[in-house]
Amino acid sequence: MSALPSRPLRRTLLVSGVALTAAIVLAGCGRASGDSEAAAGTVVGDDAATGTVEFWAAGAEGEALPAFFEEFEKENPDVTVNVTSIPESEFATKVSAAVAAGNVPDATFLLSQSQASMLATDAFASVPDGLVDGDAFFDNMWDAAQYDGAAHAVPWYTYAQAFYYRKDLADAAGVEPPATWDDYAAFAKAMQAQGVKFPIGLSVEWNEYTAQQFNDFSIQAGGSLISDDNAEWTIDTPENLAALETFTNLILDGYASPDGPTFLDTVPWFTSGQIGAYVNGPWFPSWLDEANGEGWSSENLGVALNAAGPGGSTSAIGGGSLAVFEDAKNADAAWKLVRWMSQPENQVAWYERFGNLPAVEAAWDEPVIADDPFLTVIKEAIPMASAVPAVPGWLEVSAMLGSEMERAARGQATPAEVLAAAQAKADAIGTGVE
Amino acid sequence: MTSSTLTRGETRTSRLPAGDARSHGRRGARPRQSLVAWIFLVPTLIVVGLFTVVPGLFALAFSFTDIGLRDIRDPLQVEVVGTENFTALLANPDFLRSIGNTVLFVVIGVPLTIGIGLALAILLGSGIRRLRPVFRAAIYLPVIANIVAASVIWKYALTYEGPVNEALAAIGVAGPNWLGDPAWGVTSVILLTVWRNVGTAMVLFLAGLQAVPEEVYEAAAIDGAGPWRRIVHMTLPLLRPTTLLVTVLITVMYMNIFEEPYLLTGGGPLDSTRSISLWVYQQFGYGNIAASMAGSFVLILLVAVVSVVQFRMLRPKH
Repeated sequence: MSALPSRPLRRTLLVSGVALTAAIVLAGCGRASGDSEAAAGTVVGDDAATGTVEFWAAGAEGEALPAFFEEFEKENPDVTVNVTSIPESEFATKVSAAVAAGNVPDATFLLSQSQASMLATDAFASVPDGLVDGDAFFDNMWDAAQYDGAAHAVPWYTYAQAFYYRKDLADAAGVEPPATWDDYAAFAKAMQAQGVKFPIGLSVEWNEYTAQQFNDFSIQAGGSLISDDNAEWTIDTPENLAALETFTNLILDGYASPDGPTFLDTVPWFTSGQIGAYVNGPWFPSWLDEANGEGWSSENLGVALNAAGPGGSTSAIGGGSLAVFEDAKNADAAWKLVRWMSQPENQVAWYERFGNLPAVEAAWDEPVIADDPFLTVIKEAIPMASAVPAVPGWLEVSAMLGSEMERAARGQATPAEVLAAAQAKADAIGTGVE
Repeated sequence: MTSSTLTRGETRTSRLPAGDARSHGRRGARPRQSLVAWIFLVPTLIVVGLFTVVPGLFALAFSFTDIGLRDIRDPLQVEVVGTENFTALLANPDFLRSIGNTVLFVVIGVPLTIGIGLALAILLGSGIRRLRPVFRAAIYLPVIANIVAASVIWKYALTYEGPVNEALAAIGVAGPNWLGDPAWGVTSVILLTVWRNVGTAMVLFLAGLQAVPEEVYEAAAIDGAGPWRRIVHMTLPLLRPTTLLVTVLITVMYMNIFEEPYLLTGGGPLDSTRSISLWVYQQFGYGNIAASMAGSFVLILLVAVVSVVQFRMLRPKH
C-alpha cells in the first residue's frame, strides 16, 4: 500500500462501487420465494455412460475410488471418471465455494453431517424418477436425502459408531467396557492401574466433531439439541446439562485428555495404550491393522455399544450420499455412475475394498459383512443410532458448540454457563428452518 | 497481498525514469517516457484489476446485502440491508476477539520478525563471511518451504508429549502445553510465523545493505566509530527506505495471518488464535457470506489505514 490511489482513480473506484450496488438493487428486487423446480422428468437410460465425469470425494475415500471406478469404466468403455480428493474437514467449504464460483464438478459425495446445508444451496439436481428404489436404503439415510419435497441425493454408505476399547488391557484389568455412565469411573480407574494414561479418548478438537459427540451424550441423557420441528435450538436444558457434566467430568477427573487425540493421533495413541477406548466408526479395526499389522485388532480390540445414560445408549449414525449438480456438464453419465455405486453388489465390493458399509439394507446379508464379529455390534448399534440435527444451521452451531465446550473442559466456565452462552449464540444463528 | 504490495513498490521505482527525464530538459521526452512506463504497467494493472480490485468491489457491494448460501447460484436476488452487516460485526464478540488476536500477532510478531531479520542481515552482511551463502539459504528456506507440510511437522513436534517437550524433559524442563494452553497457543503460532517470515525480512535488509558503499564504513572506522555506533548511526539511518518497505510488507502479512493459525491450532485453544482472516474464512464456510464479506472489508480498511500511517511515520525527512 505504498500510496493511496490517485484522486481520479479514487473517484472511479467510488463511482463503480456505487454503480455496482445500484445494479444489485435494481436487478435484484429481492429473492423469489419457493422457486422449486418441477420434479425432473429426466429419465436415465440403460445404455452405457459416455464422456468424462468429474467426481469429488472426501479424504481417504477419494484415494481409493479411482481404482474402484476402473470396474465402472470397464463396463462403460467410453467413460472416464476423474476423482478429486478433498480433505474431509474442508469438504463442505470447498463444495460451497465451488457452487459460489459456478465451477462445479458433475457429481460429488456429500457427508451426512453437512448434507442438509449443502442441499440447501439449491445447487443439486433432484434424483431422476426410477433411478433407484428409495425403499432399498436404510430409512434414516433416504430421509436425509430429501429436500424440497424430493430426493436430491442417493445414499451411498452408512454406519453407526461404537465404543472401541483395548480388550487386552481391559481383560488384564478385569473390567468390562462401561455399560452405563456410572460405569465410566470404575472402568477408567482399572485401566489406569494398567498404565493407560487416559482410559477414555474423547473427540477433543473442539469443533463440529466434538459437538457431534456431545449430540450422542445429549440423546443418551434423554435430551436433544434441537426441537422436534427443527425450528429452534434446545441446548440449555437439564438433560443437556447432565450430558455436558458427564462429558466434562471425564476430562476434569483425569480420565480423558482435553488435548488429544486429535484426528491423526487416534491410531498411535490407541496403539501405545495412551488411551484405552475411543468411540469411532466400523473402519477403526482396519486402520489399526494397517498400522500394526494384520491380526492386531482381533487380538487386542474389543467393541461395545456406547455407555447408556438415563435416555439409553446411542451413537452417531453417519455415512454419505451421492449427488449430481444442477449445472453438471455430464449429468447423464454422472447419474449412471451414482446408480452403479448404489447397486448392492457394488456396495459390497466397495465395503470389501474400503470398509464403508452399504446403505442398501439387503447388502448387509452378504456373508463378508454378516460374519464379521466387529460388525455385529455395529449392526446392533444402527437402529438405536442418532443423527446430528439435519438443519443448515448445524454447521455453524456445531463449530460454536465445540469451541464453547472447550471452556468447560479447561475449567474456564461451568457447564451451566457454557450451555447458557451456547444457547444464546445458537439462537442468534438460527436453525435455518423456518 | 504480498504480490500486490510488491507491484505497488515497482510502481514507485518505475516512476523514477519519468522523473529523471525532466533533468534532460527536452520537451516531449516526458510524455513519451511515461507512455513507455504505462505500457510496462498495463499487464500488472490488468491482473491487479481483475483479481484484486474487481472482486474487492463485488465484496464491498455484497457486504451491504443479506447474501447467504441460498443466493450463491443467483447472487442478484439478494436484498439490500444497508450497514446492518457492519453494525452486527461490531457487536459480535467473536469478531472483536479476532481483531484483538490479530492485533496481538502484529504487535508481537512484526517487531520480532523485523528485529531478528535485521540482526541476521547485519551479521551475515558484515560479521560472518565464510559460510554466508549456507546461512542465507538456511534462513531463507522456510519462506519457500510448503507451509502445510511445515505446519504438520510443527504440530507433531509441539503436541503435549511430542518431541519438543521430550527434548525439554531430557534437560529437566517441564515443557508447556504448546497447543492446548491459550497463551502458549498464541506463542506457538507467532513462533511459526516468525520462523516462516524472518527470511523475507533478512533478504530485503541484505539487499538494502548492499546499497550502502563500503567506503563510508571504512571512513567511519578510521574516524574511530566502533561497530555498535556504526550500526546505530549509519546502518540504521541508511536502511530507512528498506525498513519502511519491510515494515509495511511484514505488517500486512501479519494482519492477513491465516495459514499458521489455521493449520497449527485451527483458531484454538479457546479461540485465542482465531485471526480476522480465519474468522472471515469460517463465516464463509458457514454460509454467512454477507458477514464474511463485511469482515474482509473491515480487514482491508484496517490494512490500508495501518499502511498509510506507517508510510507517514517512516517518510524520509528532508
